[in-house]
Amino acid sequence: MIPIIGLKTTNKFETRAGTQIIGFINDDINPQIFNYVRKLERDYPKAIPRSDISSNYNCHGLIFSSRRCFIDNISYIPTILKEDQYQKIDDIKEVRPGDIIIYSDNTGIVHSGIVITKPDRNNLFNPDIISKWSNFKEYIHPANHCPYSLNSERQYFRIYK
Amino acid sequence: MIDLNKLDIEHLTQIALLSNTPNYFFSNFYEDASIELISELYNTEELISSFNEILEKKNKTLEDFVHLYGILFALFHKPYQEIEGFLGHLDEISVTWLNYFINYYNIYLNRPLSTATIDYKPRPPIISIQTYVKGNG
Repeated sequence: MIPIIGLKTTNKFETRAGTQIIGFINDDINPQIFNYVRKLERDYPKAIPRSDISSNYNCHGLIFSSRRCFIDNISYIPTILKEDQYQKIDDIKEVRPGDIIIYSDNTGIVHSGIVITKPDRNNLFNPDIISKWSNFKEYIHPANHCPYSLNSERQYFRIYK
Repeated sequence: MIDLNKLDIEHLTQIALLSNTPNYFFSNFYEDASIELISELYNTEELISSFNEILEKKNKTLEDFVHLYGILFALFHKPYQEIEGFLGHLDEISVTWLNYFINYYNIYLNRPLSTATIDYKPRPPIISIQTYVKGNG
């Protein structure tokens, strides 16, 4: 993140029920990010980058706005889950590629991603995820191997219809 | 002026850049040991003075922003009565995500929510390249 200057444009979209969600787009990149991405990738060696650095969208923007914007207002997320008719998957064995994962700590939702492999014994029920790490890149990573996985609860959701 | 070198700038900057949402930022900054340390080392007046000094800087660098937020969170460890007036004079334009932070602060410490109006107008969490370049030119 960081606070924040350089607002460019807003991006608005609606849930299925018509609630307006407002995100933001800013294609400026703080050059200092490049110094930090190296350290970040050393800290998470199993994370495979799949995009360039971008501040145009964050994790929630990746999932809920098709990479169109940065959604930092977490009150939107429960609204989107409810109004887009996501259903929680209680049994980890039922999780499939295409489901989404939500990371929450004691302050609320901190991260989200898209499941791309089936959880099983081989990966200790930590499926691979695609997620955007805020102002950094999109990464492919095990569900328990990202900056947001420590001390957070992971829940899986799916749209069935 | 407080010694900002005591802040773990590398870690805090990474947290700031990794924050998808203000709550992740809040919990990691609030619990950071280096922020707790400067809260213990300096009194409220010294922290506020340094905060205002950085806030008034034009063309702030990324490091300036991290220092600013580091001091803000050090103040969150001070007795509420000492910072109530200070928080009341801040605004969301100067300190992005401020209202979110005050809200979490109230929740963490069971403060009355009446001390701040939560009227969140989100802005994208980015320092523009122009701002950064000017700040380091």
